[in-house]
Amino acid sequence: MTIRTSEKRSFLPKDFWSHIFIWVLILFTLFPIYVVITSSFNPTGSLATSELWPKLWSLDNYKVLFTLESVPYLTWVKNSMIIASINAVISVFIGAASAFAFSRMRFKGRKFGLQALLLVQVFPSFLALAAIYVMMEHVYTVFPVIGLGSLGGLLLIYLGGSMGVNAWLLKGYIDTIPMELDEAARIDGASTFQVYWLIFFPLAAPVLAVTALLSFIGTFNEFVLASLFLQDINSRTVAVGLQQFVGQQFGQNWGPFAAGSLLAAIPLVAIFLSMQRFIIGGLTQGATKG
Amino acid sequence: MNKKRFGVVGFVAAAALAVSGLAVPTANAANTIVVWADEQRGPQLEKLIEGNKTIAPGYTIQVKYFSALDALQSAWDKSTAAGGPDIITGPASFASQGAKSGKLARLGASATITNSIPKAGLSAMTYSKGLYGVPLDVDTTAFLWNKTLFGADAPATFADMVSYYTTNKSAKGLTGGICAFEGTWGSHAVLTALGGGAWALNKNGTANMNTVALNSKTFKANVKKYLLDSSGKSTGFFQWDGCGDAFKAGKIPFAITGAWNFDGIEKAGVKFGLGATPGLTSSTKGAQWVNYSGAFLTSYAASHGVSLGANKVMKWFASEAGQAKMSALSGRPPANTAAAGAVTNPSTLGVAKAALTGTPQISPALDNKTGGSNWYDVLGGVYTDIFTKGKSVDATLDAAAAILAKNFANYATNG
Amino acid sequence: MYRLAGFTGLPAQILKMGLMALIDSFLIWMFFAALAKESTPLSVVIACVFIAANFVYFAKFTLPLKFLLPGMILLLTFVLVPLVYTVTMSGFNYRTGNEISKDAAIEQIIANGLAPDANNTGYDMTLGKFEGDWSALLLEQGTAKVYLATPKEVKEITSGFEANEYGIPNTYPGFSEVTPDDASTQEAAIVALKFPLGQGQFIAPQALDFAALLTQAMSYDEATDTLTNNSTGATYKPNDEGNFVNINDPTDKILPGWRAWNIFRNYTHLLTDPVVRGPFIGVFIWTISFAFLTVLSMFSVGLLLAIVLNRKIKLRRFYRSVLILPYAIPSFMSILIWAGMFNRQFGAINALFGTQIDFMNSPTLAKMVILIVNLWLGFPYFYLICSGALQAIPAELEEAASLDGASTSQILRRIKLPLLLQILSPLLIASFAFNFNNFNIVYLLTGGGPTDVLAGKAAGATDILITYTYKTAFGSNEQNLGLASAISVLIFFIVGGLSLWSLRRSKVLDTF
Repeated sequence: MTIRTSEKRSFLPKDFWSHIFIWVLILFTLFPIYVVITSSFNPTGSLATSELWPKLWSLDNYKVLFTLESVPYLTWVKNSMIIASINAVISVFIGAASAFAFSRMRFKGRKFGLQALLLVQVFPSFLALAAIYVMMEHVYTVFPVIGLGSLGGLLLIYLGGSMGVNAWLLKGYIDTIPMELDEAARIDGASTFQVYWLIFFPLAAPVLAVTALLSFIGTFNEFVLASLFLQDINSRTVAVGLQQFVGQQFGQNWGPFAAGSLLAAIPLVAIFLSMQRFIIGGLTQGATKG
Repeated sequence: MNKKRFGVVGFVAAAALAVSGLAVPTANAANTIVVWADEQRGPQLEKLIEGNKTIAPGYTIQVKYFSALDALQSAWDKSTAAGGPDIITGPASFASQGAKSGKLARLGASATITNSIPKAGLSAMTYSKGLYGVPLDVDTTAFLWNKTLFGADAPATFADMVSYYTTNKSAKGLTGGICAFEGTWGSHAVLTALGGGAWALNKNGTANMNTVALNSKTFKANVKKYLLDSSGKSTGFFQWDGCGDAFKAGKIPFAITGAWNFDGIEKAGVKFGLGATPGLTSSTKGAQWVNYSGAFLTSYAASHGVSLGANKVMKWFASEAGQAKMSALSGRPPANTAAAGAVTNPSTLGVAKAALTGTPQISPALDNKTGGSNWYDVLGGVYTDIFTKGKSVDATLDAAAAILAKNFANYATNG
Repeated sequence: MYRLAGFTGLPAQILKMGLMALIDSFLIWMFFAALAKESTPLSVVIACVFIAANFVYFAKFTLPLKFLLPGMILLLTFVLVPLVYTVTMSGFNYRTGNEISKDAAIEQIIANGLAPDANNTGYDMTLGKFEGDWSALLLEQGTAKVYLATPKEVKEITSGFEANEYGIPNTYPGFSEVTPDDASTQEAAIVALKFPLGQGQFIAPQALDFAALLTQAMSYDEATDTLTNNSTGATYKPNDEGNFVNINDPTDKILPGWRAWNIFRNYTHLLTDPVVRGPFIGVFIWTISFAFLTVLSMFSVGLLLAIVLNRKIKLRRFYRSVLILPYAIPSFMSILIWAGMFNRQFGAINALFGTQIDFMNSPTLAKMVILIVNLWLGFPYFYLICSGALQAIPAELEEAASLDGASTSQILRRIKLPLLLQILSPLLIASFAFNFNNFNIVYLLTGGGPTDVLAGKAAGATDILITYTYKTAFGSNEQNLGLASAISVLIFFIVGGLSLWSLRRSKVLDTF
């Protein structure tokens, strides 16, 4: 039996280099976030760029978010949460179903479909907004509930793009789930749907959680389409609502924007923390050992 | 199996037909005049005219506003008669763009409008001899000086500013002399103070588009004299890129900016005075850009069947009463002459006074890039080359003027 | 036995029938609603969805489609349609001045062609009905003459009328004033009113209380599709670029024009115009290098991080939460913060080191700045997907290899990395494609610069194809959306081709 000689005596604590690497990254990561935090407390409204420890501190910017009647911040957060969560859930379902079909089934047009999905994501969309706007203007005249200016219509547009992104994202992971599981289940008499719901879904939970999280954050921070679409002040999302502080030609007021973004980032990080359980994984390994 | 399927289909069809009796919620009621605005003017207009029945009797006014000017511009570009506004408010550049594309309708230049609004404001809204909008208020910058650093009175001449800077630079740790908060757009006052600028002005104040004032002999000499040191490098007096925080921190004594920044400057604790940019002598001043924002009547109003009512609203926008109310909420100097005379707010007055020494901003000319780049990019290149890289003043300005000449000539012929 | 989800037999059948019944009735309702509002495109779309849904979910052999249909419908509507729209628009002359439809343009030209007379004569007006016809009592501004105007004639009246306090006449025998509420519902009739004055002149209401003297300068003949300028006599016919031009002088064109099919002129313009074509190669090379380098850097850092955090080191959860933060902050604010930090005189980076390095004005440094900031923005995403992928690699492979005596780094290189690449290559390709078109980072951070504007250069050192396109087609008060579409199609062929080629090479499509 070979004796492993890879254990070296070391004067450094365990995982020393790992910690160093992480801390370098953390400093790199946190520096701009530190600027965001200081800007949120800076009453002059600028993105303090040169002073490391600002001289002025005040809670004005946070107060603006909760007292101005032209800033219904909590409504915006609610709208963002609703649309981001619905989008995350439905797009995960759509993505999982599509990825399952592309990965497990053989049908005419499968390769073509996969390539088409990739190509469609690649197209530079200068006029996409114009086309969607005109379409939804028309839809508004017939169905105002899902037309221009409605959260429902915006959700539909986000879902439209979700298949392309998520199918590819998930297909690679699904390919690694061994076919033996499927075959074992079918021998037991399961239909394709049952394989999908009862076997595949639980196994892919970590990846689905990651997809849902990415989709959630993406929707939360999206503002180009949303600012075009959501005109009424009470239907805006956080990203759109905060634009009013910095979208002007001159006189951007970064204070409330930074404050609003920080507050909105808290639920995002909280959701991520709660999903860490899934991302840690271990479910896959359990199933294949049997 | 087939019978069952027919049964299901039958049930479904019956249900659907029953449900289709339900009415679909409708969109806008007739006789609504929709006004679009950006995130600043929108809430103000909402307070003033939303739901108002006296401005245009028989019509309802609805104000819709976007979260940012970019969003407004973007939606306006994409709008069609199906969902477009009847009136839109925005910067003066909307006039030429909208006229060319046919989205704006010509306004009848009634006597009431022409008599109550100065020529400069009206010409900013004119394209190809047609009036397309009503100027609402003035968009311009003013000169500020830090009273704690420099003193209670404004500097008399440009030379005074420069000498203050050179004398106190190391003692007070100054990082600059004058800060143009808004970059190349805001720095025009400095250019004109030193004898330069975009184009020369005729005696009657109109722009002479055949000349470029940027490479005049006087300007070249003055740049070397006041802004560069003996070896041709920048003295650091002229700042235009990211210097706002330094002014707010008291490290730069003078600045050029507009009312939108006054709040932040006050909060930073700087006590400042307002005025016009000092020129070379005590009686000459630098001329900054004066832009207008206006309200425009769209051609969609006619297709929506509300053009007469929209005309009435436009009349309100041009009236003294309307402009006075809007100015009170926005803090910006109104365009209407009578309303402007009645302003009492001191910082609004300060900006209004500065506007008197300004030069009208002809956006289509400044944005034109036939020569390769537009005015703002060319100026940015000039500043970088001269002040950051230390290149030759004469050569740089001549190269810039060559590009600008093409731009202005193209604007003069095509508009 | 019939099965659906976890149910079998009758409950499953009922569930399926119930769901389909619900969806079908909803679709039928929408169809009728669309018909009621006379919207042909919507009715057609809804009908297609209805047919497709019922066919797919009730037939036996359409199993893959049952999974794919919802996503496909959404994709077709919201992604494919705009794509087709862009491609179509690339064949049109679609720019500032040529945006609306031809009918709308003609209407506008006629409306603009109403010229006031030399004195800008205006009238204060009271609108009403006289002997059954629309008519108006007019007070001419300046001369104070009073007129009664009917669609047949305009005659001056000197007596019989009463005026209000401003001197505007508002009563006359036989004349009844119209109330504002009434008038607001009959706008169409009022706007079309023309009270004739003879010699091509007429008085038209401009508002409910104001009328102006106008001459019709432009008239349109539908039969011959010609515009005639009544005062100069010039005739205008449409050219094939969407404008009416003087038949004697093609450069004399009338604005507004309309969107017109100009075949492939946008493409030929692209290929022949030196302004667009000149910097193309340089920009293209940088775009590819940027996309490649940035994906490489983000992937390396993300993978390293995933490996490190996969092990049970202390503070693992804390590290994870902190390192996800760049992803949770809106990128457009973070990019601007980074831009400020790199400022030569006032930026934090130079302040930290006490230097005055001009990051934004040096081509190489600016490129480095973009890569650094994009790394900051992107490594959390790559960390997430790499960690997911690492989880997906069965642990028994690693156990088997270490039993055979392989070291950690050997396992990494020989087993994990190839598997990772296989799982992730579509994502890497997609990330490459995304960064190829990553407008935001370049535009917000450096604006595409530094550009040597004074030397006549059009493209900056950090311009990628899409920002260069944006600058070419937009800005300067003149948008050229047809040209932008043509460039988009071109970019698509390039990057789509590259992506397809790398996809085929990676053999991802042939997995198991």
